[in-house]
Formats: sequence, C-alpha cells, structure tokens
Amino acid sequence: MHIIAVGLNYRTAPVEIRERFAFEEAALPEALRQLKDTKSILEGVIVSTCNRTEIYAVVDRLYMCGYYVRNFLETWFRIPREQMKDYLYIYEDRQAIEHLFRVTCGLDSMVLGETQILGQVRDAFLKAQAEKATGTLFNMLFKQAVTLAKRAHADTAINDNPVSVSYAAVELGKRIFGHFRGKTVLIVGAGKMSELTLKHLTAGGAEKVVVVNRTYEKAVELAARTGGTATPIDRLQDELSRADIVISSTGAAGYVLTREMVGQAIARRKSRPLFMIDIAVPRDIDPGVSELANVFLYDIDDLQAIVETNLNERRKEAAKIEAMIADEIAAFELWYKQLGVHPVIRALQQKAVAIHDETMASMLNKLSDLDEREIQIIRKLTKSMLNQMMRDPIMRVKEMAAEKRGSEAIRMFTELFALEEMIESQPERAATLASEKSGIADEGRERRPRLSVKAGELLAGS
Amino acid sequence: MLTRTWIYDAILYVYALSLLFSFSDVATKNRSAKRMGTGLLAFVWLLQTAFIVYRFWVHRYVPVLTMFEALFFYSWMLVAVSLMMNWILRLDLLVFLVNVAGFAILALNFFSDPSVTPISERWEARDELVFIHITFAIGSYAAFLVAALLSGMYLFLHRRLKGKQWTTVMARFPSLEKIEGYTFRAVLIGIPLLLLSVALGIAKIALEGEARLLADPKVLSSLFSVAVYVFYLYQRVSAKQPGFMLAFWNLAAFTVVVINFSLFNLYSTFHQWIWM
Repeated sequence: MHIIAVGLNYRTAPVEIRERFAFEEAALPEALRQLKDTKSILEGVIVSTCNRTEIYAVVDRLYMCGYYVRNFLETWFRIPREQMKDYLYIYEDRQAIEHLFRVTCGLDSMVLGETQILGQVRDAFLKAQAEKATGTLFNMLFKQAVTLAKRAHADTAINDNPVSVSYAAVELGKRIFGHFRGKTVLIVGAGKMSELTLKHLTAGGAEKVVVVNRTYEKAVELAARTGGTATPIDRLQDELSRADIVISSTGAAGYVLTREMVGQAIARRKSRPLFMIDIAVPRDIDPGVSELANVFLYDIDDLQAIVETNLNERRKEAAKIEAMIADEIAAFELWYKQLGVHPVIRALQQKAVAIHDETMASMLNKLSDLDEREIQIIRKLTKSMLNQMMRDPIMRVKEMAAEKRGSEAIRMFTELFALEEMIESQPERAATLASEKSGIADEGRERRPRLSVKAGELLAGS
Repeated sequence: MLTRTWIYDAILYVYALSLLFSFSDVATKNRSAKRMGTGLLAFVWLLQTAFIVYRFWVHRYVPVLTMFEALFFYSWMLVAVSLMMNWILRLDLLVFLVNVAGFAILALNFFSDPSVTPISERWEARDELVFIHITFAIGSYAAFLVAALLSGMYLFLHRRLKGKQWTTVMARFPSLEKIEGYTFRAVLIGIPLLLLSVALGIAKIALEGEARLLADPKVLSSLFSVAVYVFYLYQRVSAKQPGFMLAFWNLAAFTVVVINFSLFNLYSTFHQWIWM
C-alpha cells in the first residue's frame, strides 16, 4: 500500500483555477463516496480550502493510481485533463506524509504558520471518517498530523507575531492598552485599510468608533458599516482629545493632523496615551507628533518593518517545526512497520496454544490416573515453557520489523514457524500483506525524490 | 552549620538552574524550558521553606531576626510572590526579573554573618513587636521591588514603542497600561506594610522609653520613604503625569528605599544592619 497526495494550491494555480477545483461543502460526502469507490483507492481524504484542493489517498499500487485520481477529478469537476496538468502536483509515500504534516502545521500556507488550516484538515478528516472513507492508515496519520500541528503551535512561537499590516497595528495597540475594551477609535478618512484595521480593533473589544471624513456622506456610510458615529470634519479637534486610537487614511496632499492640533488635544487628555496609525500616502499626520509625550505614532513603513521582523521570526520557528515533522515521520514509519508484525505474532501464539492443547490432551489420555491438581501443575509448567520459548523470538521480530528490511524479517519469521495458514485465517491478513508490500517502510527512501509538478504531466499523459 | 551549608548550596544550585531554564524561555519562548524552570522554582521554594522550618526548630523562633535570616526570608518571599505571579498573572518576564533579584540577594547573603542582628542588642530580639516590624518591612520591600521592576519594564517598553524599535521580545511584555496598573497595585500593597512597619518601630521606641531615637536617621529616612511613595500614589491618582513620568517617580522612590535600607543603618544609633 502507498500514500499519495494529489492537488493544487496557491503556489501552483491562480485563483481562477483554484475556484474551479473547489469542492462544495454539501457535495463533499458524495465526492468522498465516489473517491472511495474509485479503483485502486483504499482510503481517501479531501482537503478543500480557498488556497488548496488536495486529495490524500491510500492506494494499493503507485503505478496507475495517479491516473485514477486524475480521472476522479476530471469526472467530478468536468475539466479536461489537459487543462489541469500544469497545476497538479503529486507526492508519494514519505513525501506525501511530509506534505500533509507541513500543510497541517501551516508551513505550506500563504501566511506562514497560520492555524486555520489545522481546523480545515481536521474537519476534512472527520468528514472522510464519517463517510467511512478512512481506515487504519489514515486514522493514524491524520490524528498524528493534527496532534503534531497543535504541539507545534503550542511549543513554538510561530503564531505569536502578526504578519499583516493591520494586525501589526492591532498588536502595537495591545502593547499600549492591553485590550481595546472601552477605547474610542477615531477614523480619519474612509479608506479600505482603515476599515480593515478597525475590524481587527473592534474584534479586540473596541467599543466606540467615530468616523470623520471630508465628505460627510462617506463618513456616515462607513459609520453605518462599522456601527460607529459619523462626525463632521470641523469637530476633528474635539474628537481627537476624546480618542484613544486614531487611524488616518485620507487622500489629502498635506497633513490633516498637525503637531499643534495633537498637542492641544494631548493637553486636554490628562495622562491617557494616544496611539496614532497613519496609513495614508502621502502621510496625514505630521511626523513631529511622535515627539509629543504620551503619543505613539506609526506610519505605513513602520508597520511594514514590524511585519518584516515578525516574518523573519516565524521563519526561525518554522525551522523548529520542520525538525518536529522529521521526528513525527519517523514515528509514523515505525508504527507502520510494526503494523504488519501483529498478525504474525498472534498467529504464532494461536499455533502455540493449539499445539499445547493437543499435547495436553494426548498426555492425559496416556496418564489417566493424574488428579486435578497434578493436571493443573503440568498445564501451567508446559505453558510457561512455551511462553518462555516464544518470548525472545517475538521481541526480536518486533525489533526487526522496525528495521530497514522489516518486511523480509516478517516473511522469514512466518516461513520459519510455518504460520502462513494461521495468518490466512486472520482478519488482519490484509494488513500483513500490506506490510510485505510496504512501499513506505523500505522503498520510500530509495525511490526517486518528489515528483511534484512534473507528476501533473505524468497524470495527464497516462 | 553543616545543614545550613548543604541546604543553602542546594538552594543556590537549583535556583541557578531554574533561572537558566527561565532565561531560555524568555529568550526563545521555549515552553518546555518554562515548565522546567517553574518546577525547579517551586522546588527552591520548598527547600527554602524547609530551611526556615529547620532554623525555627533549632532556634525556637521565627527566623527573621538576624541579618542573614531577614534576607533569606526576603528571598523566600520573592520566590513565593513570583510563583503566585506565574500562576495568576502569567507574566513570564517579570517573574524572571524578580527571581534574578531574589537569586542575587540569596547569593550575596551567602557571605553574610548569620549572627549579626538587625536591631539593637539591648532589645529583646524575640519581641513580637520587633518580629512583626521586620516581617512587614520585608513584605513592603518585596512589593516595592516588584513595583520597581515593573517600572523598569515600563520605561524599556515605552522607549521602544516611542522609538519604533520593534522586536519580537516586546510581544512578551504586558501592555503599558497593564504594567502601570500592576505597579500601582504593588505600591498599594507596599505602602501600608511599610507604614505599619514604621509605626510598629516607633511604638517599640516609645515602649522602650527612648524618645530621642525618634530623631534617629533611620526613623527619619523611613518616614521619608513612606512620603515619597505617598507622593507617587498622589501623582497616580490625580492622573496628572504620563505613565513614563510615574515610572520615573516610582524608581526614584525605590532608590530612596534602597538607600534607607542599606545606607542609613550605618548612621543609625540603634538599627545597625551590618552586612558581614
């Protein structure tokens, strides 16, 4: 069995392509059913977000599996294969697992380290599970991916520092005020960026919003959208002395808020600090304002510099998560290798019990005058001998199964103890065979590296 | 003496280890290091408590009367306060700074003479009034130290924000508003404790019938310390000063307390805190 990941994301496909490959929420159960019924696919999960559409599948063979997945995509989206070949990527086995872990941890996201994708992957898995599209492998793998991502976010600072200008402004505000409950936000100018920053501030608890604009109607419009109050521009000075946070983004050529204006407002504010964000170009607020005591002035370049610093910090944290991913892949591979050994051990134990029962019955026929106590002692002793004999081989085969040539060791163990029939009669037979055919365990490392986008061509041509 | 040495050494080593882990957390936001640091700090507190209990058992009095004991008790109180802050307020950086101060005091105290008493030899050292006077004073010093560290943090963060010098370390700081609030609360705890301590000291002097000691430099400087903090409090309540000026005032008040604690004992006629 093999694990593959086929899909496209914001790096390989523009939005007009991504939107054509998006699975509708309501249609996802049906898509999962169809995916599961596709030839060669044993398990499947569909991750569909605004930035990516990916199909994770457990397939019985690598050869042709891409063809079947592509066929599924072609049928579902009604898009000819030639149109998708340039955008699709395919990862196999170890690369597919690594890709899933990176995606879940937010390392493959547009905003490095974001956490939304974690919830999206978890939901995708739960939906697939509800449709019974997952099995032993994906139940383990996706749970491991989600747990790893949670740990990565908890144990590193990847998500601690904002990487957008509006969030950077909010973060600065938090360093000054802590929270925005009860704070008054003054919006000067009705620009788009002001609205976005205001959205974050109100989400953080800012309660009172005052909008001042040269065109009063526009101020009323924005105030209505944000639940604030519109005020004529001639009352700007009064509002300034009442505000805690000022966001300015007018299209004015000169300074809208001069040092004198702010100085006068500060004199009427007692000891309250004033946080001013100037996101206009050319600037609205006189830079000299920042020299006033208790005023914190930031323009667009200052905010951009913060974003850059934070991005660098996130990259450093991402390197820590990459190391965690490597450990997690090793843990999954170990689990996978040992998965095949359990039916073999069980078969050996069953065989031992059967031999023991047979031998005891034969002995009791020959020694009919033994009392119950003696029978019990003999039974106990012989069982103990068997268990002791089996203990070392079982431990060894467990260890060997986790090594590089694990499947060979399991096969040899099976042949040495003649367990083939026993295994055949077990429900876990499939898993044992899977281990023997294992591509992840032994072959994954030796096989060629990522197929990546080239695989798109492979798929289209197959 | 042997017990003192090994347990004191153990406290110092474990405390240093705890600080190393805490520093790792502060510098690189290493959560597992934080857990380790906090665990070791709790262990330090337990060892310190055991040490205090042992001394109480041996000497049959609450060990805060000698120079060594008073500073040890101060360090114990700082560890207790930092553990509480860690649990309730989650101020990692402040907890770290408080413990750096606690460790420094503990390490410095290692060289002090355990037999030196902080009060006049003529007075009964085990007097309840003196005991409460010392514990209240230690409590107020702990509160003032926390307030001073907070003010230092305020000034650092304020300068960074004003100068637009953003670093990710700043994200570990509480907001200016919060720091100011915590400072105010710490001073609010410290002032009554110091006031009560001074009042008890004066009561003791009155009970001893030595009124001339009321004009002792130590008494006067203690009253001055209270006055400086009351002035800070007034500035804060009247909201006339911006936050960074209040932080300056608070640091100035703490400097007065440190001078009162360390320098004026030398000039006092009855309140000698001889270091070694």
